Parts: sequence; structure tokens; C-alpha cells
Amino acid sequence: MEKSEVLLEVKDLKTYFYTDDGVVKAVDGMSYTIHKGEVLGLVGESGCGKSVSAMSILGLIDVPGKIVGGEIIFKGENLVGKTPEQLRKIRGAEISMIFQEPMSALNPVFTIGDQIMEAILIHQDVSEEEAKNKTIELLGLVGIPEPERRFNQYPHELSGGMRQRVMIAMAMSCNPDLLISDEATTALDVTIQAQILELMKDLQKRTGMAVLFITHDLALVAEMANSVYVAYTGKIVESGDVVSIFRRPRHPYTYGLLSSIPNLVSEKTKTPLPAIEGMVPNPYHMPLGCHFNPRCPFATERCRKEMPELAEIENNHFVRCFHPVLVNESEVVS
Amino acid sequence: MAIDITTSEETLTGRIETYWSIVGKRLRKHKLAMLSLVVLILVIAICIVGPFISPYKFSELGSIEEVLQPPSLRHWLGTDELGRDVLTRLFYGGRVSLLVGFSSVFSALIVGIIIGAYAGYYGGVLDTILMRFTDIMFSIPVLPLLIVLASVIPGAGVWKIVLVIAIFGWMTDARIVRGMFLSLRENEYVEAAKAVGVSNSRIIWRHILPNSLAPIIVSATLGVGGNIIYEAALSYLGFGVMPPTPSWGNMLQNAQYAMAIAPWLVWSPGLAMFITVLAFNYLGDGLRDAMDPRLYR
Amino acid sequence: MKKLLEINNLVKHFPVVGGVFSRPIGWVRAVDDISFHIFEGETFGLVGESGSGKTTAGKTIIKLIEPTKGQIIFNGIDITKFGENKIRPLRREMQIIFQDPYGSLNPRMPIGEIIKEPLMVHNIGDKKEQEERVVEIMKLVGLRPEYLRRYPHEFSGGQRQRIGIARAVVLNPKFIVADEPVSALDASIQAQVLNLLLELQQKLALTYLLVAHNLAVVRHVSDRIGVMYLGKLVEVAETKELFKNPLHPYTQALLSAIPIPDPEIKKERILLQGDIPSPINPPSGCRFRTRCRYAKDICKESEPPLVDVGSGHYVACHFVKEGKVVEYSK
Repeated sequence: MEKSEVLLEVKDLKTYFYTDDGVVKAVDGMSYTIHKGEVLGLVGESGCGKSVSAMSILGLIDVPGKIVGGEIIFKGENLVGKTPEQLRKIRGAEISMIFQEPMSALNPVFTIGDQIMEAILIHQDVSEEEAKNKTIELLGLVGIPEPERRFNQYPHELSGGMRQRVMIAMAMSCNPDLLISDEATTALDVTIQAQILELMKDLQKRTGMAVLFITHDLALVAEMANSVYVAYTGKIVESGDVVSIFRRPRHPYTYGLLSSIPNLVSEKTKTPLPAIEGMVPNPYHMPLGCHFNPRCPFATERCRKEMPELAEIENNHFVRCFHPVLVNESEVVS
Repeated sequence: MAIDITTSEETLTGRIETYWSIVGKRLRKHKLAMLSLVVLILVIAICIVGPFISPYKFSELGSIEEVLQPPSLRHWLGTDELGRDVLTRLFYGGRVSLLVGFSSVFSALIVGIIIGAYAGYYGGVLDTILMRFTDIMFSIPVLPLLIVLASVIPGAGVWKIVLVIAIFGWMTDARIVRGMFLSLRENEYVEAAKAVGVSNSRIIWRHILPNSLAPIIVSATLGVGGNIIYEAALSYLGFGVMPPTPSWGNMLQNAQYAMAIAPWLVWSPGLAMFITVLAFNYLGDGLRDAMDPRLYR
Repeated sequence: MKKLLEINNLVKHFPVVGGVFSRPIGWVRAVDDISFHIFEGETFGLVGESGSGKTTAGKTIIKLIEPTKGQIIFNGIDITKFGENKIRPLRREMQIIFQDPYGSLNPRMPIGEIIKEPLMVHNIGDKKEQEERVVEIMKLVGLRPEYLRRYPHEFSGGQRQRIGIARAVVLNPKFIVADEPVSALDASIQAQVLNLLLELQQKLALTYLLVAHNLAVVRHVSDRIGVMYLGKLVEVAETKELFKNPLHPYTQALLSAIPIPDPEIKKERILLQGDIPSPINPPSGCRFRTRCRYAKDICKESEPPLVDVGSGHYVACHFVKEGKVVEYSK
């Protein structure tokens, strides 16, 4: 695929948390690039730094957290070091975000219409009348039936799926160039999740915005993303386009995750899944060398001493591993 | 570090971290609370040891020249209208006041925990009955009734005061405990205990109570200070600990007659009480922070 | 095969209280007349979305929740009306694993105590034997026995779930309700816990009722699956049959909604309209009709019964007869 213009480039980002018990390197040298109109899937388990990196982009890192290194280049400008005021202008206007729990992001004492209108009025130079019309249009756009009536409803009157639609409407209100979706469908039922995913796909196609799609669910990445970054303990361990990641995973972690998830086609039900042993290391006691080495079946002496670099192993497919897995394509997801 | 694959989920640190060790660690960072704790330990130690070192007895009357003497080398805090050494009486009165404070809180706590636990755990009719009773107790004007009770219950001992304060002191504890039980009984570990077949009484005492201790301890800590004041108020009105047994309360009461000519009689018990109660309050605050429920993950 | 558990017309309604006098002003029909059975040694998967009543069903079956109506026959004994004291000895036979590995362990109890408590409550063995049993079980579920004096907060989600599993199997039960046992865990840990459940089933001859929303997980471990929607069972079938030949329109939509971890399969989705209705005021007739693309007048008027359409495949839909869809058309 011909890559279009770069929209956002996260370069060697380091976001650390200074707690009483020590330093947590939540994001430790993460880099990724989002092109215009692209859906980038950032996938990993809890503690891999995927959400912290998104919060860093939006400048929402609070004490005891701090961005201690790296650059976040959005449309040619470095966001690291910008004042909160400058970031606030970008946030909501050019970059929007939707979260897992829409209830915590919505104010319970205002109607959803008022809240979306407010977002529009802050960032756009329009009259109240225009803002209201735009809000109703947006509510319709995100598939909320009877938008005029819903305009006057409070968040608690809506179901989880409807709230997430409201959040998306709010996020779309200023035609952002980048939408960050942080586990936005995780709390929803499968049939509702399917609705929201279709909506996001549809909006993305229609507006051409780029999406940073953060999730723990590999299946969602396969469905939504063009390119995939796999994160583990604050670092990217593998990246590439979606087909090569799912067909030819090279990092033992990616490979292990893909083969350990139960799927809907495998004939080997009721048999042990090829699980990854052990667990994500304690953030205060990271292992020496490759952070995955204690759980890796292929780990050698070298892996226990040295952290491998992210290296291009085939065209545009990067792996942080001394001993990349060689996979028979039919083996994965079978 | 070698990883044993069979039981490979392994990153625990060496020391066993109990809830209380974490609370202790956090409390140690709370400077005011730690200072208060030190002050309280000192106060308690002095009150216990003091009477043994003092050359005087608390009831020992002085000669006529020694009546109402200001602080001097012989009597560090002066003497009272009967020539008794104020410092010695302060030690002994502290013993009594602290004893009253602790025992009344303890007794009230037992009543409050039992009533609150059963009301909160079982809910329904039992809850309604117990809580209406609590409400009624709350709506009784305490001070006049305390006075009546203090004069009705026979005897003049310290224990009578403890009893009187406890009878009117358990309601707050009962409400706190009930509230804790109401929310904690919905926890999955309670359901898990039921699924295993654990009896209700074991669930109440072994599962829920240990988890509701934090607010109880805070309330008890603040309560000790509060009840010391209560005792003082009762004594001041002449219904508290009866002379010649000294308490900080009746020492203050005594002092009022001679306030103009012997202000030291007011200063020493007043200040002792003030410092002690303040320390209990700061310690309670510190404990509240250290035992914040967000503490356990 | 022997039926270990038989559920007949089970109903659980929760009152919705309101008003000044806390009187019931409505009922949540969490479980509304479901019937099925579980064979000895099998895993029966109960799937459904939030509000389907699957968790309530699981907890009612082992009498953690009192049933409103119906019959629960466990191992030949009708336990529906058993009071607390009569059910207690039966707790040795039936256990539960909870979803939340954080909330289901008492934070003030060392894990050794947590695992030992069932033995103490049922007076099994002396103190020493109990301690030996705890060590044995900890090894069995993959926990280091050295950790028995430690508290739950020191463990990760996966380890805590192992502790919960140890508590459930320490009494050597016949039957375990596993209520969303892996949904709170990270992807790489889910497989470990599923493997443990499978291994324990073999070693201890367990029968499982697996309550879950993740169909892939349910498919991997279940022999038979029941699909619930708004308090009703809409379809029951053997696992392979259900995935090959889903007959109920809801099951079809549910299966098609599952995202597949393969970027090159672009499947056609049946997108359901709208949200799940409230279980306080469920639709008349077939409860799924408000979201069903095939719904006709009859669906509004009468409730379709769950009928056997051949070889143990049960469906509750007016348009499915003799194992075939007779009338699905728009």
C-alpha cells in the first residue's frame, strides 16, 4: 500500500511514573507513525503502556507521571513541551479520544446535547443555533435514533452502547484528523460492539480521519487496522502491516498470543491451548535483557543479558528479537 | 533469576506484606500523626510511671503553708487548696481520665459493633428495629440524662462514669459498622464464603468485620479524645469522678474556685487535656489517611 | 449418560423496590422459565450478553440465590426447597469460581487460610491433614506452597484466579459453576487458566457449568452450549452442531458479531438493531422479536417454546421446525 503523508510520529517516547516504590517505565522508548487516513492498531496486555502513550499524545499525563524523553510530532509540530493551553486547543479540535467507560467522561448533570454543543462552541466559531443543529446532525450520524429527543436526555438514561455513540459524536464534533480509541468497545456486549465497530469503520471511511485503535483484543485489530504495533512492557516488540503480523508473526510474544487465543474454527477444542507461560513482569522488577525472556520458549543466554533492538526483518515488518520465530503460515490461527 | 516453568507466575518480593504493614508504612509518612503518637505514648507512660516516682501521694495533704503554692522547685506545678502536689495529681488524674476514655470507647465499641453488624448483615426487620432503637438513643438529650443517670446509678467509682458514657456512646459506632456491613456484604468474597458453606456468624466475624476495621479504628481513636472531654464535662458539673480520686476533669472543676489567685491549677490539667485530646484527633486523622480504602488493590 | 443436574422451569425474579414503603413496584425477570440438564463429566456452556440472566441462572442453580419457582435436581436430589442447613453438606459437592479475581478473595485473609476454610467449615481432617491438603491443592493449581501465608493483594490477576480455583476444588466437588472465569484476565493469562480448568476436569472428574459471554472461550471448553437472551434459553445444542448450524436468529447474529483474529476474512455481519430491552418489561411473545429481522405478528402474540428439532438440538423460534428453518425471510 502506498503510504500517504505522515500525520503523527511518536519518536522514542518515554513516559515514567515516579512512585513511592520506585520508577515505573510505563512507556519506555515507544515509536510509531500514523499516516493520514490510516487505522493503526496498538495492541498489548495491561501494563504494556498502550494507554499511557495515548495519554502522552494528548498531554494528559499527571504527577507522578512525566514524559522524560522522546518527541510526539503531530503535523510537523512537537507536542512534547507545549503548554497546557496549546495542548487543550489541539485536544478536541484536531485530536479526539474515546475511552472504555463513557460514563466517566460524561457529566451526569448535563444533557448529552448540551455536552456535545459545549464541545463545538469551545472549538468552533459558530452560533448556539448552528451548534445545536450540528449536534443533532452528529447524533444522527452516529446512529442514535430520534436525535432531537435524545438531545435532551441525560447520560444515565442511555444504554452503554448509546453512551459510547454519544462519546463518538462528541469526538467527531470538530472533525478531528486523529481519533484515539482506547478500548472503546471493551465494556460492550458483542452485538453492541459489532455495531460500534461498524460505525467507527464507516465514519473513518467517510471522513478520512486517522485512527489510533488501542485494544487488548487481537481480533479487533485484525478487523479494524491497516498496520499493527504490538507493545510489551512499554516497548514495541513487533510492527508491520496487519496481514504480515497475523500471517507471519515473528516475535515469540505475538506468535504466542495469536496461537493461545481460543478461536471459532480450531478443531482442537477441549485440548490444552498453547499458552504463554508466566506473567507480565512486575513493573518495579523488570528482567534483565529482553523483557520477554522469562516467558519465552526460545530464550538464550544472550536474551537474558541484552535488550534486542527493533529491526526490520522483512519489508516494513519490524521485530525486537534475537531469535525471530519462523512460522508456517497455516500454523497460526488454525 | 531462574524461572520454574511449572509454577512460573513469580515476582513476589521477599517480605510478607500484610494490610497492617502497609498501613504502618503510610502512617509513618504522616508527620503530625507520628508526632501525636509519640506524644500519646509519652503521656501514657508518664501517667503510669509518674505516681511511682513522685515523692508525694495524690491525696497527701500538705501543711497549711503549702496550700495554694505557685509552681516551685518543691512542687513543680504548685499545690492546690488542700496543699496537695498538683503534678502528682496530674499524673494520677491522667491515669483516671485515660482509663475512662479508653474503657468507655471500648465498651461502646463492643455494643456498637454487635448491633451494627447484625443490623447491617441481616438487614430487613432486624435492621429496622435495631436502627430505630439507635435513632431513639440518638435523639435523647444526652447531657441532662447523663446527669440523671450519674445520680441514679449507685456508687461513685470510675466504672460508673465509664458505663454512663458507654451507654450513650455506641450509636455512632453502630451506624458506622452497619454502613460498612451493608456495603461489604455485597462483596464477592462473602458470596464465595457462603458458597463454601461458611456460617453466617463466621462470615460476620471472620470475613466482614476485619474488613470494616479501618473506620472503626479511626472513630475509636477520635472517640477516646472525645470521651476524655465528656468525663471532664461530667466532672465539671459535679457528676463525674468523685474526689478525692483526681481526674483532669474534676481537677479543673476544683480549680475554678481559686482561679483568680491560683491560675496554675487551671493551666496544668487544661493543657494536659488539650494536648492529649488534640493528639488523639491528629492520630485519628492520620489513621484515616493511612487506612484509605483505595489502599488495597 | 447420567444427568448430574436437571433444571426444570427455573424462574428467578428480583423485586424492584421503590416508593416510601419500599414495596416492590416491579420485577426484574432475570431468569424466566428455563429448563436444561447437565450430564455427569461434561461442560455445559451458558452464553449470553449482559442482562441475559446467565450469571443469575448459574448462582441460582447452586442455591447461592433462592429460586422463585421451578425445580433444581442435583444428583437425584430435589434441592429447590433446601434451607441453609440442609444445603450446607451439599456445598462439598458443588462449588463456584467467580469472575472477579480481586473481589472474590477476602483481602484480610492469607491465601492459605482462604483455601483451607472449606475444609475447616466441613470438618474434614485434623489441622495437619488440612494443611497438607492445602499444599497439595496449591501445587495442583500451579501456586507455590511457600506463598500460603501471603495476602491476595500480592498476587496478579491470574494467580488470584488460581487461588479461587483452589478454594473451589479443595473439597473435591462433583460440580463447579465457573462464572466468567477468564474474562477479567489478560489474553496471555486466559489460556493458562482455561488449560488449568481442562486439566482439573480430567484429573478430578469434574462437571462444569461455564457461564461466559466469550463464545470462542465457551466453544473451546464446552461439550454442549445453551444460549440465553433476556432470561430465556433460546437455543441448546452440542458445541459443534451449534457453531455449524445455528438455528435461532439471535444465535446467528451473536456468532456473526464475534470478531475473528484474521485480517483476510471479511465476513458478512448480521447487525442487530438497537439495544437489549429491559428485563423489567420484556417484550411480549418472543423476547427477541424487537431486534429480530424475521419477526412477524405471531412472534408478538405467542412465546415460542424450546423444542427438540433433532439430535438434542433445541430451539425456541416459531420458524424452526424439524431441524430446518421453514420461514426465515424478510
